[in-house]
Parts: sequence; structure tokens; C-alpha cells
Amino acid sequence: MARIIVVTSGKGGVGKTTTSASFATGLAMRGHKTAVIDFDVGLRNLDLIMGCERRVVYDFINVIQGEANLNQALIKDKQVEQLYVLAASQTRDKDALTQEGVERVLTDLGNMGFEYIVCDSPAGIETGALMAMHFADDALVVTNPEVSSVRDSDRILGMLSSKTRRAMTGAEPIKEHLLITRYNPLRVNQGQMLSLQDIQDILRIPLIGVIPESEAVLQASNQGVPAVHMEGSDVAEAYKDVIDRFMGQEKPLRFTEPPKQSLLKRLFGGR
Amino acid sequence: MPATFDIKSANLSLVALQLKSDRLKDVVAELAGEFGPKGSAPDFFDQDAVVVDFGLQPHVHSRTELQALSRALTSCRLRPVAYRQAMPQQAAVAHELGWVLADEEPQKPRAAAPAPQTVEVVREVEVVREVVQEVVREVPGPATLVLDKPLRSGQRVYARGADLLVLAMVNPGAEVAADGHIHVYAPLRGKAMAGASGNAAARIFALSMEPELVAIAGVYRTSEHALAPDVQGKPAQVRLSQDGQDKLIFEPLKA
Repeated sequence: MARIIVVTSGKGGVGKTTTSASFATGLAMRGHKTAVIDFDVGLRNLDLIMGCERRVVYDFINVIQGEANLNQALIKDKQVEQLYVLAASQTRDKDALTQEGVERVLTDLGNMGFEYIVCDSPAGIETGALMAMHFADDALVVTNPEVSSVRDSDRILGMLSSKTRRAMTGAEPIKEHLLITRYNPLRVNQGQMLSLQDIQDILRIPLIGVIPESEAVLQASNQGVPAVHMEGSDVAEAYKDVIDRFMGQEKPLRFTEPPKQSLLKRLFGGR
Repeated sequence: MPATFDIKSANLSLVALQLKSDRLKDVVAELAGEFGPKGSAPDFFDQDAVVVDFGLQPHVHSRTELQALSRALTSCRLRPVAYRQAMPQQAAVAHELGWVLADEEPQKPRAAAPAPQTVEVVREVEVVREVVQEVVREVPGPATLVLDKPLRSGQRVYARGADLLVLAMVNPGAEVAADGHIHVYAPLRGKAMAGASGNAAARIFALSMEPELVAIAGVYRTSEHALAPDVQGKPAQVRLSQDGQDKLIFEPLKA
């Protein structure tokens, strides 16, 4: 059976799709056959971030409704072996996502030998988000260091523990991982952002990583390259750490302290 | 005098469904979403009797529409038994469904609104006009509801006729309510409503008192104004003053 990971947050714009793309890519780079599915029906973004938007012929909804088979709809990534993308439909309504349909697709992917299936959840707590989390084994809860994002993540955690298959059947609960994105230690120290401790004090689930705020993410998105490919950037390193921790390795947190500034920079007021 | 029975006056507590819209379809849909079997709080009601309050709306709903509403209420574990504030034609339709006419809500001597923050549509009312003036309330028994898991934003729990004991945090946006006391052996950051059906002796205890709102027997306080420094974020209790002034008293717990 494939391990199903939902990337979710409640709030929009916190970095779910960026994380889904980098996380799935990172898993595939380590040789695991991985599929990443965009559940944001009607607002597809994942294919843009993955740089395969021109190759989308059939999408997730087509497969659910039996208009195409999985082999036709899965888009093979050009950079990483073992990585496949299932795009969302731009034109359909979110009601096209049915629980039976989603289950069938996930089972079929498992039968095709996929080890990991990453579900990129839409924002909100509507059908799409519920479908994305329903069959999950693991959840990456993406949270920004600000109050409303933490509140929404809390709401999502409540739903993970009550509205998913594992919760409803009384199976072992979904493994929850907190991923903090857009973290800027300098601004935390200045009191403009919540600190790691503040966030964990509310959410109280294990932290899997901290992704620093970085311009590399925007650059990567616009080029259609998952941020984990931005060699040498903090973001790529942080995502690789996340994968390592997901695989069970112990890794110290990085990028959570402000960079030491040189005397000259301090004198001349560089950023 | 008959030997086998007595006829006595009785009164009954019920919840009222106050219609704020004349589109019953919307009401039915919203009810199902909130309290239906697949709604967010399917166990909120426990076969409680309900009075449908039409609020003197001029719109007359057909028998089929009312039947649909009745079915929706039943699926929310409510039993529609009465109606009030209906225009005459509406009353005729409601009668056909077997609903009885309820009187206007009598002015109550004491505020005992249950859990005002929980649901807007819930209101307590006595249907049958009183002969005896005393209001008999169900006394919360020794039952206790114990929760081990954290309550997160959007989740709510109501300990009906019982105390509520929570061993994990109650986060902002979560709600706990009980007819008896509420104990939270963790930070209380959401809303807590003790004595939800009017027990003014109920109290709220928390290891770290940082609530969004606390209420006891309908008397509430929001977090708009900060609590006293010896209470905020500290082990503390909240109770209602027993001098008839109905003031919430916050006190630190001294070990």
C-alpha cells in the first residue's frame, strides 16, 4: 500500500502547493516512486509550480469520471525519475470530487507501485479539503508564523482527528507533522511574527521542519521549478531536511536563528 | 375524583427554533449542515422537544414545506411539538401536522439563557402557562464527561446534565459547555460555558485561565478586557457571586 500524505493548512497562500511540489520531488529524488495530486479543482496551480502545465491533457476529474485512465492522466516529471503529477481540472466544479472516485484513484495508484502519494489540499474546509485529507496516513500541516494561520491550522487538526477515514473507523490516528513556512527569525526577534514556541504552544504537534522566508520560493514558482531544486538556497536545504526527518532521521533545526551580520553590514545598514 | 389518575398542571422546557428567513429550504439545509447526521454537531440535541417560532412572518409555508422542516428537525434529533407567533393561515397548516399552539414566552424572573454563544436558534421557553409559580429544573446529576483529546478551533462539546473534565488544551475557537462544572487541566483558551441550563452554582476551573469567553448560567465575560494579572494565564476558577448580583468572580487557585 502506498503511504498517503496530505499537505493541508486551512488558510490559503501559506505554501501548501510549494510544499507539496518540493516534498513530492524530494521523495522521488531519494528513489521512491511518488505521485502528487492537485485537489484544488477549479484553481489548478500545482502543474504550474511543477512546470508541467503545457503537458496537461487529462486531469484528476477525468480519471474520477472514467473519461481517461490513470496512465493517460499521470504526467511524468522531466527532471526526476519516479515522480508523477496528477493535475486538477480547471473547468470542473469541486462537487466532481467524490469519495468513491478519490478512493479508487488512490487504490489504483497503490496497485501501480507508487510508494508515496502526496495530496495537495485546497485552502478552506470544503469538499476539496475534506477529500484531500480523507484517506491520508500522514498530514503535513503548513503554518505561517501569524495568528490567523495558526488558528486555521488548529481547525484543520481538529478535522483530521474527526472527519477522516482513520478517525471514523477508529484506526490508528493520522500522523500529524507541523511544517512552519515563511519563517523569518529576524522579524520574530522584532516581535512581528510568532515564534516557534508560540506556534507549538497552540498546536502541540511534532515539528517536522521550518522553511525560511526566501525570495528563492517566488523565483522557483515563476520558473515552474519546485523550490527543492534551487541548489544552494536555504529553502532547498530546509525541504531536504524535512524529507530526512519524514524518513525517520534526526536532524537539528536550521535557519531558525537570524544570520549573524558582519560589522560592516551593521554599520552601513545592510539588510 | 377519579381513582386511577390525577390531572395536574405541568410545564415543560423546550428549545425554540426561531425562523429568521421565510425560505424554509435554506433553513432545512443549514440545520442539516449544523446538527444533521453529517453536520458539524450531530449529537448536539438528544431528542429534545422543539417549538417552531414563525416570528409573525407574513409568508405562509405549505404543508409539504413544513413537513420537510419537520423531517429535518427529526434528523437533527429534535422533536417538533409546537408552534408559536404564526399568522392564522400558517397556524392552520401547523395544526394539521399535529403541532400545538404555544404561548408567548413568559417573562422569566432570572436570566437562564443556555449557552448563548453555542447556537443562535436555541432558546428555552415554557409552553404551558404556569399555575404553580415554581420552576423545577433538572438537577445535574453526578455524571461527568471526561475528554482526553485537545479541543481545537471549531470543535465543541456539551456535557448535558453533567460536569465536563478536559485533560487537554481548549484552543481559541473551540467551545466547551456543561450543565455542571467545567474543569480544564490545561490551558483554557477557547470559550467555556458552565451551568448552561441555568445552574448558577456551576464553576469553571482551569490550570491556565486564558479564555476567549467564560459564561456561567448565561452571565458571560469576553476577553476584550484583560483579566487580572493574578488570574490571566494562571490556575484559576470562575464562579458566580451568590449575592443576587450575578457577577462573575475570577479567583486564583491557591495550592
